[in-house]
Amino acid sequence: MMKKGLFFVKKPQETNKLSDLDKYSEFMGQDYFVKLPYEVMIHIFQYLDLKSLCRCARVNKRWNEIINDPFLYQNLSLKPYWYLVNCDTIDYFMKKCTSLKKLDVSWCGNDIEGFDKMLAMLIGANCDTLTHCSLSNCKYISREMLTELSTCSNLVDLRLKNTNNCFKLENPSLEYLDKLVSLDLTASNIEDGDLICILRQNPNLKHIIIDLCENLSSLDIVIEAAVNYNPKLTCWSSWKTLSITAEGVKKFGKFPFLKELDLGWCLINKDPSDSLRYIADGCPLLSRLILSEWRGLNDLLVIRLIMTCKELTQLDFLGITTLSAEVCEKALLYLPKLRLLDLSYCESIRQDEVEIWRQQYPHITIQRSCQYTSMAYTN
Amino acid sequence: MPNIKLQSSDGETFEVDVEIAKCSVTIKTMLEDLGMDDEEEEVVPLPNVNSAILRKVIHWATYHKDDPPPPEDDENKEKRTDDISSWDADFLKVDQGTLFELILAANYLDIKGLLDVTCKTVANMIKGKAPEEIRKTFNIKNDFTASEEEQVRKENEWCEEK
Repeated sequence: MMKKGLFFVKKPQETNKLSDLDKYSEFMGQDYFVKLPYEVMIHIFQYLDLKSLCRCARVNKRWNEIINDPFLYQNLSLKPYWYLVNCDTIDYFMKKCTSLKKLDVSWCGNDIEGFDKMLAMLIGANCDTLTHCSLSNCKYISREMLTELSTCSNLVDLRLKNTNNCFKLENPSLEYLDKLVSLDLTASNIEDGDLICILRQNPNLKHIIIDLCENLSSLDIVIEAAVNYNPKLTCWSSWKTLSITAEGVKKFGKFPFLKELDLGWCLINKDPSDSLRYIADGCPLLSRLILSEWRGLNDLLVIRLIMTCKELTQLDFLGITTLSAEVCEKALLYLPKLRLLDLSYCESIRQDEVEIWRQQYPHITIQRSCQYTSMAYTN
Repeated sequence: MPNIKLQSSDGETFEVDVEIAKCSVTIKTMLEDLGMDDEEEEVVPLPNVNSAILRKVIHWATYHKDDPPPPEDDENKEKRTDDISSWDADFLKVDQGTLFELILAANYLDIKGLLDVTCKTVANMIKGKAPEEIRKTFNIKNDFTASEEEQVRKENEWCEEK
């Protein structure tokens, strides 16, 4: 079967048994890279990580020259090397990066003097080509850096997680960006007006992550803005950003493409009212739903969700003590794609019930609090 | 299925299913440009590929004939080298000379799938090795002077654990 289509037709007089052997001995100890053209060398080197590239630069003169090709540095992730990166490292890449598309410097350069200036230069030198930029956990990100980022007019993916205080009051930031698709501002000090401005400027936004944003004081209004400006929204996460009410939650029902929704801890001491009904009716594609610590949630609201959102793969009810075992069993039974059900700290659900479900639904992981402790004991 | 004949640099002729031969963009273009589709007796000369390598290339192409067309190079996708199929890994358990000849043939014949998998294999042989180990593995001559070597070492040592 494998050799179908391969027919041996004729063998020329000068068979190559001998010359193959000749070649073999001739090839012993040969440097085959010499034969490879430049573009094939690049094709090989494109598969190497940065550390391997640095080592290849030290092999010989030809390799050293090829390793400088900017093609190899269009996608630069320094995150795995965060503890080795300093100003000289950025200088090293300044020479090689002339058409940088993706840059990830998460965790890099904290507490290194002058690092922010070097990084701003690298970003500035590549501002026309940069499409993805992650500066997560870079504590030195300043308003000046945001201004530099704002000139990167092709940015589609921007991550500023844990950058604390880069947004300044009363001053719009990132105001020139208009192509964003993904934005992560977790634990930043962004305020409502600034965020709404970004939402308005970037109609293609699909992924919005604003977990732990203490300065967002009226999330309901922000969601209303997103409903108006970002109809393609597929992923929203505002875990532990507390300024949301049931009225705001209802508005998620207006995002027909929504797949992931993380509202964990958002309604910890608030009445969810019938807000979940709007999500159940308006978001048929919903796959991941996090409702941790929605203490007011009851069976009736959840059943509607189970009956309409058939794409659900993950449901998180952590800390909800008002759910019955019946409704959890319905989720297991009626959600064909469910793979993860978090029932940690759901005190109304007994452990023996969970054990039975685990046997009945082995393809679904059911999370429980203290699971690891109990496993450690049984093993 | 119609067949065509491919002739290697050392004069051996292989009769191959046209659809299989067309996984080579070079051959596909040649057939289209020359309108050779219907001429059964035409022989396509491949002066840059010897019979041993051509036989292997045809073997690879025959096994992969029903593969979906390889995706365009997507810069957004991370370049992986751990996704070589076990059949390909077995197929490429060859001496270095053959491996590099296959790379050259894949490049000349413009067979993206074969070029990718052979280049990944070489990349995997490079990964994790110190410069001297790379030279040893591939018989590469160090043509740096002592001072040049010291300089490139300094330039490129930022990623080494201290």
